[in-house]
Amino acid sequence: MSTPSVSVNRVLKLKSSDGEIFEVKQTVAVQSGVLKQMMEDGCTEGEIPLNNVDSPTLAKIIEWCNKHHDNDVEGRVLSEEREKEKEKEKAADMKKWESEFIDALNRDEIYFLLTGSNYMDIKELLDCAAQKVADMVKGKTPEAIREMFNIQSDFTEEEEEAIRKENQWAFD
Amino acid sequence: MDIQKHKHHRDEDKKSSRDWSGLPDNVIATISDKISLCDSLSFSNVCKPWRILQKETLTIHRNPLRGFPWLVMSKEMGSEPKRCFSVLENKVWKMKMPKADRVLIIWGSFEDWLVMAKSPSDKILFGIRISLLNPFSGAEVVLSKADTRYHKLVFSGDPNKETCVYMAFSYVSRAFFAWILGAKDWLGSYLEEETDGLVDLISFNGSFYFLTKGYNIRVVDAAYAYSTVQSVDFDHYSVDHLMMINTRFYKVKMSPDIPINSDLNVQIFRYLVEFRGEILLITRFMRKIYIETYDFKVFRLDFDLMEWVELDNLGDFCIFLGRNCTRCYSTKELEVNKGNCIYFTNEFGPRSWVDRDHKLSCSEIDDWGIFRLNSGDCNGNGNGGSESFSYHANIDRRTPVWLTAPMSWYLDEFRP
Repeated sequence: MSTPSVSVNRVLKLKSSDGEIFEVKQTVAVQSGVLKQMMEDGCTEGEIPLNNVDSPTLAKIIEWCNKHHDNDVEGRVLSEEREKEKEKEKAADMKKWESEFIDALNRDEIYFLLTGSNYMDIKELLDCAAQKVADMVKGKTPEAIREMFNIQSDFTEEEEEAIRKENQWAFD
Repeated sequence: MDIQKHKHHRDEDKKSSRDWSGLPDNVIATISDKISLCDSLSFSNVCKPWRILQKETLTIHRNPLRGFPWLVMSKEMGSEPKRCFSVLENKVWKMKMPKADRVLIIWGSFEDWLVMAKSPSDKILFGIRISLLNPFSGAEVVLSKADTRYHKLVFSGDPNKETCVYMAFSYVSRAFFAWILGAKDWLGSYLEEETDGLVDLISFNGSFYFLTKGYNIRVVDAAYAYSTVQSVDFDHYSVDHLMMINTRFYKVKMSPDIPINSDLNVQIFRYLVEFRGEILLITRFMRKIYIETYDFKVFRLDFDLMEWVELDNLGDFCIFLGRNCTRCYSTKELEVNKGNCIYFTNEFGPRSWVDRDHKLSCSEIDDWGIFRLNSGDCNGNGNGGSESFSYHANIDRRTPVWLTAPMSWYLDEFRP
């Protein structure tokens, strides 16, 4: 893939929905499918408006991308075996970092991270946030999930009744 | 009062201020991809957009079929609905069978299809009528009259597809029988007398794999079997110009520690299993005197070395093992902490005739157990969590049959 416009030192200026400007290295920004496409198309001059991402969320997203970028480039001069070992260690460290990162967020922040990473097309981050949601709904009833995510049921009375009955089939 | 107030505040804190039902489809699909079967059921009952989206994703990725493992209680068909036990949901479902007036027993399964056979008590002495029924879609396939000796029936693919080959084999007579849609009869093929008898059969990667008594393998390509059956003119067919399906024989090395024959004390059951693109052999050992299963061993077929290599664990996978139907699940698909397990059914006797013995009573919903590999620990239903594994068989009951209840069926409509 040729991306002549990407250089280590160049930065992109990202503008959040509430008008805050964030500077991000191009080499970091390529993790976003949308930004990568823009760089390839050569239209990253000036501020890039991200109308669906507010500044706290964008800060989080950039924190994630920076961390994953650092992890990618550091230390490539080790012997092959040592490198493998190091890779393993790094992967474990990264997992730990990711879970701490995601666990520190409240539900609203996770919501915005889901929509933000989806909007900016950052697959790894979307996967990580989606996994968090999957863990949150583990073992929960539909009512509890609705409660947790502020969802009004749009099922009819009859459908609700059918769902309740479905759950009553449990056998002891 | 203070405590209550505090609690109230915490609940508020936990709640989201955003309406999650409005999340983009792509986000919901990503989440629903990551949740277990049981959770995806709750997930689909949260709101309509989530339910619809899940259904759409399921219809796009139909392969492999995503669904819940059910145990179907097998007994002669009466007019009452069949009881099914959904192991993961811990629920009993009642399945209404179409055409319940016919005397049929459930004999095996393939994904969401049941294999039914007319019981020998049904006056037809020299043949049985086998039919396939998909209780979830209502689809049915009726096969040509078959031999009563058939021990197991396997399909090369979706039974509704024209190219599907139906392969049955006979435990006692070293014979196997192939049938295709539209064929007037089954085409029988016979192995030479001095060869190893057949003990199990699976369909794998477009071929049929037979396990022989000596742990060797015989292979038949489904396409070849199809064209052979197709070329037979059953109206003018005679034993004189016998058409036969030939098998490719592969000698497979097996550890000498694993006996070939059951002896006075120990009965060995053998199962071939498709496991993540590989073939596994599972051996089950039962003490005859106590009719107690006390161990399982798992081997992987190494195609390069042509050797059965013992596995000491199944990783994040578990296997639902049945006499006529076996299925492998990932723990991600089920739920955590249940990997590395074999879910097995009540089984006790030599296989050939027990299946259709109508003196046996109906299986019960506790006729199964769990074996965890290499931990010697067991959660067998009705067996408690004893340190040394054992499962006591119910010899007066039929073996229940595993069936996959497709997730799409769960989402289809609301079950009354």
